[in-house]
Formats: sequence, C-alpha cells, structure tokens
Amino acid sequence: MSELINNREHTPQELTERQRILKEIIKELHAGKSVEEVKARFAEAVGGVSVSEISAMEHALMTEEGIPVSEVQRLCSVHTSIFKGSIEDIHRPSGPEEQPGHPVHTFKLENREIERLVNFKLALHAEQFQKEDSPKVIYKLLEDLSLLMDLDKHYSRKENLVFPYLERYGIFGPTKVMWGVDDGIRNSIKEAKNLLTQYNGDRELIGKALAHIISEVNEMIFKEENILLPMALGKLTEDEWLKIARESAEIGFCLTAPEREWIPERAAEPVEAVEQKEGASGTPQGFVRFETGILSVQQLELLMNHLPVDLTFIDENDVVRYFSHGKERIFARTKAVIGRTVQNCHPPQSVHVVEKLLEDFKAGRKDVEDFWIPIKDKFVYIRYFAIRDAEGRYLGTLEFTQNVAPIRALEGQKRILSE
Amino acid sequence: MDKILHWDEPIFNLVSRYPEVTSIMVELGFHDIAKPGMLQTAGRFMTLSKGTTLKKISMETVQQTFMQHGFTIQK
Repeated sequence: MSELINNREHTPQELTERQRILKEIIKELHAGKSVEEVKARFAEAVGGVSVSEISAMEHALMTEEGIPVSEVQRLCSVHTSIFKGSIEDIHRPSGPEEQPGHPVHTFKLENREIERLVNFKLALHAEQFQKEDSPKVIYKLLEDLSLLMDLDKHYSRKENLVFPYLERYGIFGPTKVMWGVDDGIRNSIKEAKNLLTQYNGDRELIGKALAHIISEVNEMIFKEENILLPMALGKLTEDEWLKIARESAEIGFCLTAPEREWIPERAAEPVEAVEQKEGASGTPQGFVRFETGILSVQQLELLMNHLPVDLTFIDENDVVRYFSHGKERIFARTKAVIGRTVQNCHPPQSVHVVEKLLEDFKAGRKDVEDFWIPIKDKFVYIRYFAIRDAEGRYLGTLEFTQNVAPIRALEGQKRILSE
Repeated sequence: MDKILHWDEPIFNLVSRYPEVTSIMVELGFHDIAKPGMLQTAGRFMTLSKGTTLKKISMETVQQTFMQHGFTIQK
C-alpha cells in the first residue's frame, strides 16, 4: 500500500516523518491513551493528512510493527474519528474536484472504500484462509467478493459517463485499454467466487486468484488517480462534469455515495439554462406528423417510454441517436452515449460481434439478428433490426431489448379482468 | 555525452526527445505505451517514477536498462 501514497504535495522525507508521528500516535492509542489526549498531539504534529496516508500507516503498523490485523481494525474507527476532523478542517478544498459531489471527488471517495475492503478485509481473510480453509473463512471471502463486485458501478460510471467525453476530445486508446482491464477485474472476481463456491481443497489456486484481484484493483486505483482523472480534469469543462454528476445516480455508486449534490461556486442559474437549451426538462413542444397520424412530442416520448421494452437507435454512421427511457431498463444507458459511436459503447471484447452484425446489415446480408441471455431472474431477449427506407437503403439499427421471463412463464389462458 | 531523462517528466516529453525510449520501455514491460493513442494522452501524465511504482519494477532495473542504451535518469 505504501507505494500508493499521494505524494504529489510532499517530499518523501516529509512523508516518512509524518508517518513516523502517525504511527507513534496510533501506538499510544493502542497503549490505552484517550482519544482526546492524542487528538491534540496529532493536530499539532501532523496537520492535514490524506486518507491514503492513514491507510498506508495502518498497513505499516501491521507489517512492520507486528500489531495484529484484528487490533488495527478495532482501532480503525478511533483513527477515523480523530483524523476526520483534521482532514476536513485543515484540508480546505482548493479545486472543484475536491468538493463533495464532484464526480472526481466521488470516484476518489469510492477508491478509499475499495482500498479498505481489498487491503484490509479481503487481504486479511485471504491470509486466514491459507491457515484454515474452513467454511467460515470461505463464507467471509465470498462476502468480501460480493461486496467488491459493487465496483462494477464505479467502473460503469467511468466507462459510460467519463469515457464518452474523453472520446469527444480524441482520447480513445487509454479508455479502450482501461475498459478491457476493468472487464478483466470483473471476471477475476466472478471466477474467484466460483472457485470458492465449488471449493475442492486447492488453497494455492484460490490464494493466487485473490492475490491477483488485490493487486489488479490497487493498480486500477493508481491508474485512475494518477492518469485518468488528471487527464479528464485537464480536458472536461465544468458543464460536462455537471452532466456526469447528474447522471451518476442512474448507474449508482460503489460502497459509498456522494454526501451531497455538487453545486459549483458559480451561480446555479447557468445550469438551468443548459438544461433548458437541451430540452432535457420541461414539456417538449411541437408535433410529429406520421403517415398514420399526428402525435405531440410529449405523447410520442411518453409512448416510447411506456413500451415494455428498451429501445436504442443508432444511425447509418453507427452513432447512438436515441434510447427510450422506461422504468426498468435492463442495460443502463445514460444520455452521455448519445452522439457516441456504438463501437465505443460496448466492452472491447464484444465489439467485434457488434461490428460483424452491422457489417451484415449494411451489406444487406441480414435484416435481423436475435440473442437471448438468462440474467439472474430475467430472460433477456435482445433483437437487432436493420432499419431501411422504401428503397432498401440502410438508415440505421434498432436494438430492442425485453425481459421475456414473464412471457415465457405464461400458461393456460386468462379471459377475465384481474381484481 | 549521456542522454538525460528525468523520473518525473511525462513519458510523452521523453519520447519526443528520444523516440527510442518507447522500445526500451516496452522491453522493460511497459507494454501499454505502444498501444495506439496512449503516448499522446496518458503519456502526458505518466512518468517513469509512476510507471515503475505501478508495474512494481525496481528503479535499479529501469536505471540499468536505460544505462545500457546510453541514458542517465535523473531525480
């Protein structure tokens, strides 16, 4: 862990000194001093401290000082109560990204929770497992891994909210590479869970799988905080961060959540203007005349959103133009995908399937392609239709996704109204 | 005269000065640097010291490998 310390602002010497004092304070606590006594000394000696420094220090206590992990964990809450005040009091936010609710702030907040889970709980239980592969320990490991699966939301927000903007600024390579690594991590967690549920006595195999997860997750945090997020901060405008912040809840948060909505220091008024201009709020005006009738835009939109299916439309240039917004979308979509090419909306591993399909549609070899996948209690039927005009020219593709589990379960007949 | 690199200089700058840095880094195990678009984007934020930490390669190994190619890395 100590290699992950945020050392942008401190020289290594300063850091070691701070860590030395931090360690002493924790040892005093450990020896029975009261929180209040230590608190004063802490404030005087150390000043502002980052959460990653605390984790690094706690790790050092375990490995170098030989204080048992369980003991350090017991002290964890005490550490937080002391450090919390000082982090907030002394470490005044200097940039928007350090304000609660800013997407970067949230990503980092989640990373601290992920670190805690991976480097304390999971690492501790993995260690226990090597000594004693009892069902109890296996259960603990499974619990940790299920919790860790929550980082799917962290990665999804990155992939579906941040990457599209970076791509708009011409940044493709790193996003693709990172998406591939994200998927790798998701798979490793799933595989490790499978190995544990069907445990056959191969301790070493599981030990390796867990060590791999721990190191990959930590590496990803490092890459996000040292490369991806600084790069995004350098490119994206405040308006774009605002949109990301607003769409974040759609996908959800990992192990924690932003404590409040981020309102940049400028007046809130321009934000409203942005929404108005885009027609994202308020009643849309106007009518659409079809061959078979006329609908107001509002009627049309509501109608699409009441269909018990998820629709996504990409145009002839593979650019996502529209998706319906029903109550229970099967696959999360956010407004950020609109205007983005479809190749960049799929994990790199499955892009070739999409491309082959579109190629067949464009060449006129196919008009429809269906997939069906059981996902938990759902049975998801995904259909792709080539959209052609009267002359047969390809104008785009419609993705039609539906949970057909309730339909497949139908039996007999029903002819009277339900009560 | 040795060619000088800095631990905390963005890789993009290093490669702009000495294009051969790319292949030396790949040789060391930094494979991502060769992927399209990486250098111009992530490479502006990535430094030798960050990369060494990330890939858990020892600084000595990096230093020696670069030395063999006529480079000196400075703090």
